[in-house]
Amino acid sequence: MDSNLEKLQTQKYKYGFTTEIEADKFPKGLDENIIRNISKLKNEPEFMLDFRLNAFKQWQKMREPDWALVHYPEIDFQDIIYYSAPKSKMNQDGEAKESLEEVDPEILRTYEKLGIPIEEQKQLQGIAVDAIFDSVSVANTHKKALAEIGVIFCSISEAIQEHPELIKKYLGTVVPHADNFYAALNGAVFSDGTFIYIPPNTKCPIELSTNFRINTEGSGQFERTLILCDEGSYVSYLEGCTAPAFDTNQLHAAVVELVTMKDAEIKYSTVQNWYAGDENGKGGIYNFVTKRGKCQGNNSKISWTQVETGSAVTWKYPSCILQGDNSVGEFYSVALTNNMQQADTGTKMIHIGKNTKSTIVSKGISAGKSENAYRGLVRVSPSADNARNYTQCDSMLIGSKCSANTTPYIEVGNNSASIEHEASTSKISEDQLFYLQQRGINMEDAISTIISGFCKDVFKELPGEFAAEANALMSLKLENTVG
Amino acid sequence: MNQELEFEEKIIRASSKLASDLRFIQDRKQLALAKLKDLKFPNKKEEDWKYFKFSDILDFEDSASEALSETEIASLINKYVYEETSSQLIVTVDGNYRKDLSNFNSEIIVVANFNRADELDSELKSITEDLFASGLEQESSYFKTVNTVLMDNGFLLKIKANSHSDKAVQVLHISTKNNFNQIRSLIHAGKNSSANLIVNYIGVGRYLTNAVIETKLEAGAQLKLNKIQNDSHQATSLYQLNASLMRDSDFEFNSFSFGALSSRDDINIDLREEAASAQVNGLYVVNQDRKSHHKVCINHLAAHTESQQLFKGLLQDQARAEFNGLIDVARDAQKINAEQLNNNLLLSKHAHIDSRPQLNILADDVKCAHGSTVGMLDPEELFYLQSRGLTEAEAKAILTYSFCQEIINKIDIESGRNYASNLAFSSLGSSDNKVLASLAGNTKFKHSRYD
Repeated sequence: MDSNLEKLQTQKYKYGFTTEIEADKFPKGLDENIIRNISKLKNEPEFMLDFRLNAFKQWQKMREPDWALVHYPEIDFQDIIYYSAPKSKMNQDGEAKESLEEVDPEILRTYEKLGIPIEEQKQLQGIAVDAIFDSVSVANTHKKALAEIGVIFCSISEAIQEHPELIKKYLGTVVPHADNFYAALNGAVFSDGTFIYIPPNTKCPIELSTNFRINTEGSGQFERTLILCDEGSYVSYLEGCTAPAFDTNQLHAAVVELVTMKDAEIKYSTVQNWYAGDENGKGGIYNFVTKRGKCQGNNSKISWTQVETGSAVTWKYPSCILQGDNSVGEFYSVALTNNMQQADTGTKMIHIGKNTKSTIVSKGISAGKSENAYRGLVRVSPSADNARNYTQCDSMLIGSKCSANTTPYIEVGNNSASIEHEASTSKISEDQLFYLQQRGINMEDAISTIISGFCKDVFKELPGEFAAEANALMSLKLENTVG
Repeated sequence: MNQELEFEEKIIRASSKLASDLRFIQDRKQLALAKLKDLKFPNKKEEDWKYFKFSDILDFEDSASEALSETEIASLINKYVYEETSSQLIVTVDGNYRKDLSNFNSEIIVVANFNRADELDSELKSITEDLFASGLEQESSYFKTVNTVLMDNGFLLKIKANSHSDKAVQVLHISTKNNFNQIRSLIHAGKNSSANLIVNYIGVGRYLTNAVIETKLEAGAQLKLNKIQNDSHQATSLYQLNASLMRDSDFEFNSFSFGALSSRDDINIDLREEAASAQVNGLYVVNQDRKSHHKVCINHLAAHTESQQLFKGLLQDQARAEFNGLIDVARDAQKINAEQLNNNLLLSKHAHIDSRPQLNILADDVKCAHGSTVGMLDPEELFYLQSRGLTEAEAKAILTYSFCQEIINKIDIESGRNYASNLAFSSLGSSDNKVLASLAGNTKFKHSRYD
């Protein structure tokens, strides 16, 4: 087994290809002009430009956060392309495609290769997809059917044009423009993203999803997603991410804001598989993401499920502000790191309303020379009577060169709160492996069985086929890492 | 910022008055003074000081200290010495070892003032040197550096190799009004020795204490150290314990925090060699607007080492407490077993707890677990006791009492246990001990001299 342990190998990254396509991109660097240009190009109303400039002003005064357990060379923010869009797209003044026939076939082929059919005849039943390619949204399916029941599912640029009142009212209310360094940067330069509005008392009949693709080398991706779920409604949203394999690092700094009104529920699932760099840590995506949801109304619920397998460095804390009474926050996470990957991820549960509940289940798996950290905050404000939290975070180490850290913060200011936190760290037990093997299961399958058992609590939260995909992804990523 | 600078200047001024007749201590002080200029006074942005209120330290003014008269000191000693340890007592006043007040007669344990060349033979000298130089001295703890600069006549306690002391030793540290105390104690447990110490901190009025215990357990040594902090409720106190554990040694440290307006315990245990083990437990009980902070860092530096932590907190009124525990497993320190648990009981609506149980693991063949709970008294348990005919006050007293006992029972002399039990209740400002006493009809709670 030991000799096998040393035989660390990486499964080649399946999505590492580049699409040859002409792109319109801004020159590298960031200043007020770039921001004014992005805003102008998108024909944005005045309030958006103000929002961007405010964010930029704040960003200039801020320092990069250094408390996370991640190490990477200093990022030169003037060496990044802040806007890049497939060329054909530009002729349409930034408007989304009316019909998929207008979409560059090269892009369609890209998505096909990624396994996400967006051409109409191939569209999946039950899932609507918004495809974001570098800085812009290139395709959006099932839009008409959704519009009939009042659901708005479009790119955020389109929403700024067509529903400015909603954007003005909600953009930046959950993640303010100066929330943190990367959120401020995103606020200044975000180019596209997804906007969803579910009208009152509507259960969105299909899963909505976005697929993010970074294509241009040297570009950063800054998307902004805003999901509003009105009273008594429900939506399930999926997000998938891939990028080509480049030797240079790329920055991905997204902001996601969720708002649920009274009795509403949002289920947000992510399968993050950005390019993680090669086995020596060369290249890969810096994934610095701010995700936060606000349970604004009573009895509302926000549930985050994430499977983090990619990115060279991940810095991500999907959080819930439990403001409404009886609101519920959930966080289910599997974070897998291999080779030289680093992940510092977790959640924040801020209990403000009465009888609010939160559940955190985090599973960290580190292999190779990777570093995997859970960092989470559970805060119970004095107003949050009868708040309840249960946290479980387990880590598994594979190989002796990786590390696992657990840094929970528990801040309780109300005595009627009941808070439990449990965590453990262990390796794959020899006994379990032996048991499976003596039943005739080979080592590889035995490990994969144990890992999928370890992650089961989280995978069962993923919608149907995503769960199967996540399972397959795990075995793929861990292939040949153990025994 | 000015206040921090003033604080530092005060230390530098005070340092000029101090000199030691021992060369290596003099050198240490010089080094520490130089380092102090590089180190910054801690601030809230540092993770380890995030929840600390610095004005409790900075607002302290050490006006001319009103020293206690010798009769007052004698009556304090008389009040706080345990029956079982009256012939094994070490006393310090404002950080100075008072041989005249100590009552010590032992073949097994040697006590000396480490700052007096005439009290140290060559062996004691080298132990002192070792304990000053070892491990954490080099690290950048601001208040330990201050302690090194300003400390004067602390004591060195040596437990002879292969000796076994069946009687507990009591150390009584007395702090007096208006003083900024630097207390330094060195404890050296020789090879295969075993000993049991109870260290009490008490004081009168408003003062600022900065105490450091430096201890080393040689191979096969067993040491049990109970620290009972009962500082005056106007005092601010900073404690640091650094322990180095060699092969097969076993260290048990129980930290009780009952007093002080604001107290902070910084506990660092280094498991340096194989098969060393450490049990670190704590009980903190605070009421009104008092604060208690614990930072525990267990460093598993060698394979086959073990550690357990259990910290319990009782908080009442607007009290605040922090538990910041870390299990750190070094690369290649395989076959580790480490546990950490923090339980907190909030007895009133506005009490506040910040709990941070952390794991930091670099080896794969380890078993580490931690947990943390926060809650109030279980209504069902209260109901059960009341359904058996107890009043609500009695039921509450029984549940709170039993919550504390798990830790208090680790003290193995009876009057120490009684002392801690009484303090736990008086720190809550309640008369529950009387409720319990009447309930049990038990003499255990009738130690009026601690009331």
